Amino acid sequence: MAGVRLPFQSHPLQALVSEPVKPVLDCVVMSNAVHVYVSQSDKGELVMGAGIDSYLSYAQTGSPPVVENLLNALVELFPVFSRLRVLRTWGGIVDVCPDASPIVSKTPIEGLYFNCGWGTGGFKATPGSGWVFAHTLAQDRPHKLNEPFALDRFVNGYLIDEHGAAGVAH
Amino acid sequence: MLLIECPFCGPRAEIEFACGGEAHIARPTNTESLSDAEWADYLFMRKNIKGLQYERWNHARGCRLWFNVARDTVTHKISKVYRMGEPKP
Repeated sequence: MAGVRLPFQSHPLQALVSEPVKPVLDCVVMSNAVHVYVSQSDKGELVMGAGIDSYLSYAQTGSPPVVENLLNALVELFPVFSRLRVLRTWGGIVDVCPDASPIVSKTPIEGLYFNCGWGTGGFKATPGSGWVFAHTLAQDRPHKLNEPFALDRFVNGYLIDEHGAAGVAH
Repeated sequence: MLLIECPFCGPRAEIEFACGGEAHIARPTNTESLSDAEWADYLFMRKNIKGLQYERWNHARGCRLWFNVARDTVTHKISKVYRMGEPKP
């Protein structure tokens, strides 16, 4: 973009929902050991997901083995869910940095700023990242909190060691 | 599910393979004079192509050998499988 090379790879991130059932789970459960996260929506559907497909893709759909692994993990955690039927699945494309952390940064081009590479994270970080990005735009320098998330960390070697922060494998 | 034709074992399901990312990235030979930016370019910057991409795959749960694949990243159609060291088709 604008002559700036970025270190992203684009991967599908899949999620799925089950048929609706009566209240059975009142929090989000996430397991890094067997690798799945699951919660129950107000409508009663279980919403679940896991990791990304390993290869680069823009197809907006993923491979069945990833879903199979996710469901294996779910049934390992909650055998009671084994008879549930899947209502729908989908895949979205996420841009992943080599250190699995986003870039919220100035660029070598004046007036151009990046807030990207959120990979499998992002949703929960939206208010905080918006706040520090606004600071970066308004003052033309990063806030202390997003200083480490600079584009040049891939050049100076100060990568961010937070692969586990999103709670899913990358 | 991708069906990948290993050049040594024949067509096998995707679950037997590991994707090694973009192919034909040569390690620089003048390592002692490389700048930090040039190292970063070699280590981290990738083309991330939407369309025909040349990439490395490893038959991790089979013969464990590496090879190259020409694959469309939108349709997942594999147009060519070729051995390491062979030029791009």
